[in-house]
Amino acid sequence: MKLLEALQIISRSRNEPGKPFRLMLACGFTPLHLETFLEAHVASHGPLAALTISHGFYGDLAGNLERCKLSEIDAAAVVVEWSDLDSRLGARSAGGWDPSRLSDILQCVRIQFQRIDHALSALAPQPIAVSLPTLPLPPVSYARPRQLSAFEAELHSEIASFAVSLTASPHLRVLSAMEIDRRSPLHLRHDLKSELATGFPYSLGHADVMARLLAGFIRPPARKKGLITDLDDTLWRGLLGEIGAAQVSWSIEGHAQIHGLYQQLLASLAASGTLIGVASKNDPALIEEAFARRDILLSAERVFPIEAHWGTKSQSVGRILETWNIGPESSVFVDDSPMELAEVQAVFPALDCLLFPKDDPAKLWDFLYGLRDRFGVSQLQIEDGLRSDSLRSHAKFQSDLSSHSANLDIFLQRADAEITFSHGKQADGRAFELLNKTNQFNLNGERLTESEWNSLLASDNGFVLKVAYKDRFGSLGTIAVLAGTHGGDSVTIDHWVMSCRAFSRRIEYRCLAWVFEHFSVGEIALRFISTPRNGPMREFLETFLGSPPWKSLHISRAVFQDKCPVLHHSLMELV
Amino acid sequence: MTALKNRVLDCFCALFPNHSREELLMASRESIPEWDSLAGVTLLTLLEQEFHLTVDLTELDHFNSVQAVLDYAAANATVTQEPNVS
Repeated sequence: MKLLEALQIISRSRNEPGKPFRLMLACGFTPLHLETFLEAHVASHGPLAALTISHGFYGDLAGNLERCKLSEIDAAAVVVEWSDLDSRLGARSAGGWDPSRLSDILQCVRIQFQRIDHALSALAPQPIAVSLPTLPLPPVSYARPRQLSAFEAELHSEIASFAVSLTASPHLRVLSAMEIDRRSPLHLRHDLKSELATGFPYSLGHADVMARLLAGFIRPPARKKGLITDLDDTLWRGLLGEIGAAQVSWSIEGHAQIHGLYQQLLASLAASGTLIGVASKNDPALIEEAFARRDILLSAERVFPIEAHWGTKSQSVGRILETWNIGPESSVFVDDSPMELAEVQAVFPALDCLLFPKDDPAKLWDFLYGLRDRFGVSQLQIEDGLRSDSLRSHAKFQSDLSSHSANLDIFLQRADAEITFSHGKQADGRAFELLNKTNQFNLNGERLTESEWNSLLASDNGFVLKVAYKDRFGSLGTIAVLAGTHGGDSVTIDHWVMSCRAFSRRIEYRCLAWVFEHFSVGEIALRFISTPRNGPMREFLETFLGSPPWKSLHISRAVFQDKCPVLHHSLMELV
Repeated sequence: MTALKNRVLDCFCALFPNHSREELLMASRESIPEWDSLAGVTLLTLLEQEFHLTVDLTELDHFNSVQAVLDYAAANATVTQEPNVS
């Protein structure tokens, strides 16, 4: 992005409607163009009517962080450079590079890291993106540049230790040095002329890269949910129907390592919550045989569903998306055939269609990094490992349910369902994620920023209820979240979402029953807003009103008890 | 000259979005309250990036009006046909 383009984006975004957002850019240098690029990149992730960026005093990063008040920001971008750790490591100081001073510089670095660490802890739980020194180290050390001196090694060791401590905190996200290296060559980062003249040390290109990466943490793009893969010459080398299950290959010995690496990545994505499905023009029995091989790296348990037939790939993709109950905009399709990709893309324009680089191993790394970028998670949650299993359980549940449709109560009674309610207000990544990605059973479709979610958790009269579910078909993990306010004899539910995997189990009735009992109220207010996609919520509320709701509503205890069916769940409660 | 003038004005419009293009054409540092030293440095960087110039910081003292900047660009810019990013 050029500086002119950044200014034009900012100018346009200031005229658009959106939520206010207070961002602190904490750095020890003049923020100048970094601030401009940061505002432009944050604004390009969606309109923010009143984005305000604050910063502190020149040359006092740690002090700026210490003075920052938690209540005054929604997020922070903290940019640490060498001169923030000791001014002698910057170009605008002449404090001396005498070898006798190097140990003192290291000591100062340790002290500054302690101050920054302490100040960052005080800003929890607001989301904070941190970058560690990116500029070339000045020629401080006594050694020739080609030789790593003990001083430089210790300096990097201090940075590494600091980074390890930061990554342990859920509200902090540290920019990967490797990703910065990939996007911004070291020798093009520093603008010494600018640093000496204005106090801004970054080249325009480096400022743009840093701002783009920081903005990606502050307003992260939506993560993709599912990947649909082809098999022949994609998941493995060879055509299954021609050479058989024993001969397809994904090993280095079979000159097919790129397929093995792809399988390895898919297995890792599946374990961190990505849905993996297969769309293949093949014989299902042969596919089963191939997945039964002991050396396969992506096991059959990680894949659901497998669509194998001789129809079009777009038919398979459509059925898989329906099974997952997600839209094409949340999914990726991978195939080695440009023709198949084009056929699927024509039917699903919003689907991200990627060519598997079977003929160009050199492109594999970028391809795999691209997948990580689309599906990566900040931190693993228990539900991430359960997702594929719970989809399978859901399919089994729905299949058994339809065969017992004549007597739903008997079926639910035999499901051994157990619901766990937890209403502690500690930060919970899964609950936040669920609130922001659920569309169908969603009270009003409102999305929350991390900062708004933290305010809700911190409010005195607010409550948050997290609901986990399991039955004899398997565990679904945390599948519903309710949040609202309670005061006197009234309760208002402001947010309520439930995963579509939990439908048909009467969990929604149990949630309302819990609210009535827990708060001992005669009536519950629900801040309902109709959206194009929250039909299931509308239908549920209609059972109490007799007609579709179109605005906020109340449900009395008497009406609830009259309409609530028999509930068969056993209950657990955690505070 | 017209293409160059338009591109210089694009820079001023992006830098001072609360002022119209016509207003900016006649503007000076005194008539635009937002034209402070930081805006001056940003203007200089914009000129460098858009016109592939190397502008010395001391030139900032001479950039007292839009016309002065236009004159400077006309005298020093070597690339005038670069496509407009807006």
